[in-house]
Amino acid sequence: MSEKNKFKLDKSKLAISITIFIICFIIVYVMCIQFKTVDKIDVAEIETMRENDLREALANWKEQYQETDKELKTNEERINEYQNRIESDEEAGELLQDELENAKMLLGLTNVHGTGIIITFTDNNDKYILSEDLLKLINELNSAGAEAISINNERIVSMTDIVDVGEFIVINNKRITSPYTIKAIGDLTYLQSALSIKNGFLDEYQTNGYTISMKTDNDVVIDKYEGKMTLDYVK
Amino acid sequence: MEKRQIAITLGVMCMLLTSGIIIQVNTTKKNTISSNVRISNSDLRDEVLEWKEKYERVYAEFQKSENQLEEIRQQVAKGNNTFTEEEQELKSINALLGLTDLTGEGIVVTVADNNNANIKDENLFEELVHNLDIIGIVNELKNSGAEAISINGQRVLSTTAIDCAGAVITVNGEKINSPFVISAIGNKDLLNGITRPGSYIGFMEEGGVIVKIEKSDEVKIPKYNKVINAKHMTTKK
Repeated sequence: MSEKNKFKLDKSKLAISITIFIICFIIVYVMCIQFKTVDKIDVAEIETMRENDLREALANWKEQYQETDKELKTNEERINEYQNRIESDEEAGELLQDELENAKMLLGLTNVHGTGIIITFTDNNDKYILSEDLLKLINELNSAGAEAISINNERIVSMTDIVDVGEFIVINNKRITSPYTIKAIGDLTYLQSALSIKNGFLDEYQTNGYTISMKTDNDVVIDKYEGKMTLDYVK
Repeated sequence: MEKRQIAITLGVMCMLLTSGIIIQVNTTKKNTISSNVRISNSDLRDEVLEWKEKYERVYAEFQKSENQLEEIRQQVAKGNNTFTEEEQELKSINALLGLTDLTGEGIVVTVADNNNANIKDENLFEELVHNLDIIGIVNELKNSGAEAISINGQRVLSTTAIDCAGAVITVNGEKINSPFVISAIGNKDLLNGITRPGSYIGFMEEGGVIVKIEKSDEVKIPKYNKVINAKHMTTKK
């Protein structure tokens, strides 16, 4: 190989090196852009996910608004009635009594009735129902908008606890045993569909071998809470 | 030989470059679609805000009417023993229902997801707080005599659902996140019994959940921040 040839080869090598370098540079550059874009896409995905959340939030606020607006109108009517009676020197105590009755009903101090469902939940040879199963069921019913619930005629109020004591389940300090009859008042279709939906409470427990059934009723009667509720530790 | 190597190298690089550009183009296409979504989202967001404001205005008005009613009730009850009794009873029932802010002695239980929780952990499930855990704690607090309970500021009523919505927990339909602060008013020493060995809380702590318990003489529990009404039930005469 002559000196001249060697130089020629070096020259072409240099050109190739430069070309490769430029190509590498472009590739790295493209990749950088690529990474940035992917980053942006993650954000975009969250934003599209948020769309569902937004729709949910919108429906929620609208419902809240309507509910509150209705209650506001009821309050305004009540105020008017009170004022009319006071002005015309009529007995207003009756109105006070109505309000008291309504508050007692909401707290669980009166027997109530309305549309709803009745669930029968029974121990069998394989499966034994525990307090946590009943707690889960109450939560499901509340999630489906239940307004009043009782288990074996024990009314569920805000202070009700459910615990296992030996072979019994204790609710409101009373022992109960299987079969458990759970009554709930609320929107009939909503309660029914929320519980019997695929992978819902009934489906899950039936698949796991529990004995559980549900029926709807246009006039479910739920007894009042028999205990006492007080706020002794509130200042 | 050398030339062939160089050719192959160049070929491979060109291929990489081409695939890079193709991916790039595809991604850009997707990006254009999502930017359209973003525009419609901002409309939606405005609408959500508008209704939220509307709700807040009507709720403030509702609160005002509640106060007005209370004044009128007092006026009606004045000078009449039966009515005074009824008025007082209504007040205490409203407090039990969750319609007033309360302060009193009790405990504050804080449970939080383990900071080191990792998706690869075998016992990841035990390291996180689930809705059923909160239901369990609330039930134990009631068993220990809690008179009023709130979770991250959400008052617990008899109709409160504590649900799981993917990675978040909802209480009264409102989303809450870890750490979960569960406040309870009641006898603080009795309530503190929920930490006894073998309790639900103890079981959670063993699983890796972070637990903190504080006794206090000034536990504050806010009122339920929505209206309570019955649409499907009436008193059976």
